[in-house]
Amino acid sequence: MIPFSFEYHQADSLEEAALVYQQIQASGQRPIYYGGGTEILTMARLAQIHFDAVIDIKQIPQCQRLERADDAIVFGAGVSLDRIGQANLWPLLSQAGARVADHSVRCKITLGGNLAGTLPYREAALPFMLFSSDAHGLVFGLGGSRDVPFKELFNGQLNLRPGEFLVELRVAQFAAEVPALSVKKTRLDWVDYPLFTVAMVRANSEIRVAFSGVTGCPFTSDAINRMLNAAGSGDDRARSAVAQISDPVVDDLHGSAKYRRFLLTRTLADMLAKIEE
Amino acid sequence: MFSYTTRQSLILRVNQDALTVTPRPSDTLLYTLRQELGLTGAKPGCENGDCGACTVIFDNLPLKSCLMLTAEAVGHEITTVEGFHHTALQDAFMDHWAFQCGYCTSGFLTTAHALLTRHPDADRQTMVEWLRSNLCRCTGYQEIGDAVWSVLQAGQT
Repeated sequence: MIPFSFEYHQADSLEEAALVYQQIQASGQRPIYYGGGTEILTMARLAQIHFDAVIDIKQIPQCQRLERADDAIVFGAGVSLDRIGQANLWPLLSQAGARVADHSVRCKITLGGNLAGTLPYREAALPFMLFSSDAHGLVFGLGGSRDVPFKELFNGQLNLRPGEFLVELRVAQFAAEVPALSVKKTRLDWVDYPLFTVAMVRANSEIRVAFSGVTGCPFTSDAINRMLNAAGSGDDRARSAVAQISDPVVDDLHGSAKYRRFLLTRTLADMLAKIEE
Repeated sequence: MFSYTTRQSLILRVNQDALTVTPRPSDTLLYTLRQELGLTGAKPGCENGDCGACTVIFDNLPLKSCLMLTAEAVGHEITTVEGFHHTALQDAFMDHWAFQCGYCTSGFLTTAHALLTRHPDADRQTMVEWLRSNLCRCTGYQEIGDAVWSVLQAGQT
């Protein structure tokens, strides 16, 4: 049982959501936007967060888009990871999303919620990070909508102005047409928090990778990508790439930093072998 | 805009009945099903979205009712284990001894029922992927998998 009370508002439009957010805030109360709500409810039950109202945005038609439009693929922030996987418009995103939590929970977790959550993994961001020059987000707030390049919108976490929420993400269609892999490693069970997740693509003969769970937040790195594209065996390139990680590697009950570095090196070498076949 | 700000009457569609409830806006669907409607088939386990004991079918999808507000369920069709009556799946669970203490059983039944509805042609990998959403602390996974697989196979022959 959640030990405190709060209001529930289900918005039908972008404007309604932003307006009710402002009204609640103006009355001295604290609203939060609500997608799948899985993390919000678990944290609320444990009294780890407190708020006065949730504004459910996942029913808003623009947040439910899941389609090809012109030369892009559009993913509404309110679409569940399960639905994204079923539609499979972007296999790399389907793969990365398919290892978040478990199937039943993925029927509730939304794309926007995965990116906006406080858990550090945010695996659904990895594919977009690999195509950050060709990916955009649409955000909405009282000032109206803003189209934001993905690299500005997300740098390990979602960067939104107060009162704004994510409406949709778009990526160029060609992103779905290049060789790509996503691998999640866990300590024991298939369903568990990750030791790490790696997404890798090969576009125009260039390999790019993005990581989640390795350090405090998802990241990609030009230095690492350079190492992976240098001459040499897959093993050597993987070792050189992992050596480029300068931020502290996560060291917790799931795995030590040393083990994560070891396993990441092996995983990168295996992924290189596969993507270069 | 649907705003639910204080405790008031809501109509929920549960097991094909329209039922009136008066939850707090912050009450989870699990809490309302059990405390207001007496539908105790959905079990509180971890209440953290991990164990699946509280799983219900929500518009043909398995969802953990501890991770859903009651207000979110308005206008949707909810099926709890109490909505099953002598189904082939229940028979298969008995035939394969697919339970020990039984606490997880209703969650497994609802997950498996949703699988049979949505993917009657599911292969074993898909079945395993769906059933991974639920935990059985008695570790009766082999028998549970056998039971669900037997129904899938019977439907595919």
